[in-house]
Amino acid sequence: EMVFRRFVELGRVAVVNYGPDAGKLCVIVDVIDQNRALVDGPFRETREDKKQGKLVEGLGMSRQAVNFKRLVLTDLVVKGVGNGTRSGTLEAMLHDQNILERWNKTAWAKKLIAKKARAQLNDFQRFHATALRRQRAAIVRRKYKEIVAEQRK
Amino acid sequence: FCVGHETEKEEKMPLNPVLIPGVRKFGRSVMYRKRHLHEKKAKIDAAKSAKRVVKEAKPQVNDTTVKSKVSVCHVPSKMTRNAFRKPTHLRSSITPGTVLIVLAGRFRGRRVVFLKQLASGLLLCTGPFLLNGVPLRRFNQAYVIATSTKVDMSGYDVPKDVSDAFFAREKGTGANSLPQSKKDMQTKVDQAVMMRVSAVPLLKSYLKAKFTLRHGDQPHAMVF
Repeated sequence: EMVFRRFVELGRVAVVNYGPDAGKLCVIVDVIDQNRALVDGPFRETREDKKQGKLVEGLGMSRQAVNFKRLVLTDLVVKGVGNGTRSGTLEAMLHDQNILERWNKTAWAKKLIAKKARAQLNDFQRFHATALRRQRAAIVRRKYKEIVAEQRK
Repeated sequence: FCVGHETEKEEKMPLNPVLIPGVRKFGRSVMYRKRHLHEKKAKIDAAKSAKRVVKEAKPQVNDTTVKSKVSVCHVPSKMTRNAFRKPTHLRSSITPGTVLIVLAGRFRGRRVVFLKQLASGLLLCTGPFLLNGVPLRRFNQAYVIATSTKVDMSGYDVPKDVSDAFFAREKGTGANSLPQSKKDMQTKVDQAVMMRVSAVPLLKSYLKAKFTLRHGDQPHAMVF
């Protein structure tokens, strides 16, 4: 049993957590040296898939060198990424393997979205959120007291 | 500043005094004006062109001698201060009905409804009084955060009696006495505001609550 479960490998999906592209997903396409990976989104945020006739989402990261310190590895791996896999091929692989869909289902992704949403709340909305939290806490407390009272009987 | 009225040569202040050796007080353009070269220039140019034309020097006629002490007295016109006083600029984020967060003073932290900007530039606001204890009061724009929450005050006009004069201290009365007329005005305005506030869910309790910063809050990053 390995201590590490997520490895830097070709096809590993990572989240960029620092810099201008912070918060974006990318795929490790090559390892440049000890410190840097060649990473690709691919760049196109959305495109229309003419074969499937629907809008396909991309990752919004152009092909570039990123320091490993700026990356956080996820559990997802794009299978079939080899040496010199180009952006177009990678885009097709992402689409076929439903990487974005699988990512969006994870708790991690949901937390990132929630964090972003919370940052955009205005003062009234923040007040509303606090009011709801207090309501929830009151319900929980009430239930807890009921349970404790039950157990004492 | 009148030139040419000094009679005693010894007391005459040099036109361009030396501050430090090598550094004089006035620069080129100032000295041009001081020496009235803008007046003399035409004459000098004329003399120069005349000299070019006349080949034989005429010793008697010397057009370039202009009286060095030209008595040109420039009496400045009386400058009227505040001749045109611009009204205080109101931030575009503040419109009638905007909920403001008061940052300083007796009511710091309260959320208040903005009614209108008075002639003095101050913002006329009300709590409403029954919600948070803030009466009809004037606030300075600088001590206020404008939130994006707005009470729909369209179609409502604040009574004209509520102006800067309304807030003037009445002489002779003690600090604790509030005339009934002011209380009535408060009720009157608050009725109109409360009617509109009640229409929005949670807005009443929002105005009741005070604004506070909690651990982890970053006011520079917060959206209001």
